[in-house]
Amino acid sequence: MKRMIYLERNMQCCGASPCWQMGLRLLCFVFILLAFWQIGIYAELANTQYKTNLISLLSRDPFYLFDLLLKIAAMIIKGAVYHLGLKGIAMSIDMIVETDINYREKLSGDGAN
Amino acid sequence: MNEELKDSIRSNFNLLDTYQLLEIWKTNDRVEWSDTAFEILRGILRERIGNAPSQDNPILEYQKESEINKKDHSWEEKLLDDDNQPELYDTLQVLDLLGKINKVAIAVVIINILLGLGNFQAARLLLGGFSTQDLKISSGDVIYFIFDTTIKTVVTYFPLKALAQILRILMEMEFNSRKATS
Repeated sequence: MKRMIYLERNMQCCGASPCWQMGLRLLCFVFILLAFWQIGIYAELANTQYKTNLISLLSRDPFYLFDLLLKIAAMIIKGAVYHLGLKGIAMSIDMIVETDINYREKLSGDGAN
Repeated sequence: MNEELKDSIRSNFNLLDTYQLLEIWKTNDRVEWSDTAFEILRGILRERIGNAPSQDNPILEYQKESEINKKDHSWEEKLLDDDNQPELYDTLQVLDLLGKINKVAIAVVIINILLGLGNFQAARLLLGGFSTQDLKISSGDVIYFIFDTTIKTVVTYFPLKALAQILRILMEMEFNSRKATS
């Protein structure tokens, strides 16, 4: 019982909390959006600087295609780094809280269930 | 080694039957038996069966039981096999996260090198169809490319690796705390 109360109290700061989970999903969505935003940036570059459309710019110079794909990949990787970092921190907090609960139980002599 | 000790070893070996002596000879346990004992054993076997057969590779040290267990059951398996699982997090999920962190850390290195090359003027010109003879690569460009790529890689790669290690340590601490309560 004591364990359940403690778990509920600590759920707010844990990675398993709905707020944290929603934040992580939102972060993934934002970075995927930003990754594909790079296509928009390139389309604008093609229009303003080269007075052409994106497809003809990419077919004219393969470097731009390589650069565009690389920038999309870099943005996705950046998102993955942030996501894994935050998820890792959340799980670390979960483990610290669980360790604390386990030792508290040991000190109080209360059973696990 | 004095002759008295050699005689003692010889007489002890003579008490054993040929099958047992062949077993000792073939096992080639150099931890249990000295080189002199094997020399004496070779002599006895020659007397009994005419020739000493080939030996296995010598055993120079015993593997500790803990080391064998370590090989057979990795630490991760130990965590997963435990009946008393944590309530706040999923062990499998953490192990999965560790694997992902390691993969992304490698991807970061590759992407940073490719991005560095993309910004590197010489790479741009080569992809644009220029020949290597047309290129004039300054040492400043190369130094900037190396420095920029290294810094960008280091500031992402090492924190990710550190996070993976922290997760492992915390998981182990939590696992030990569970053992302490049970």
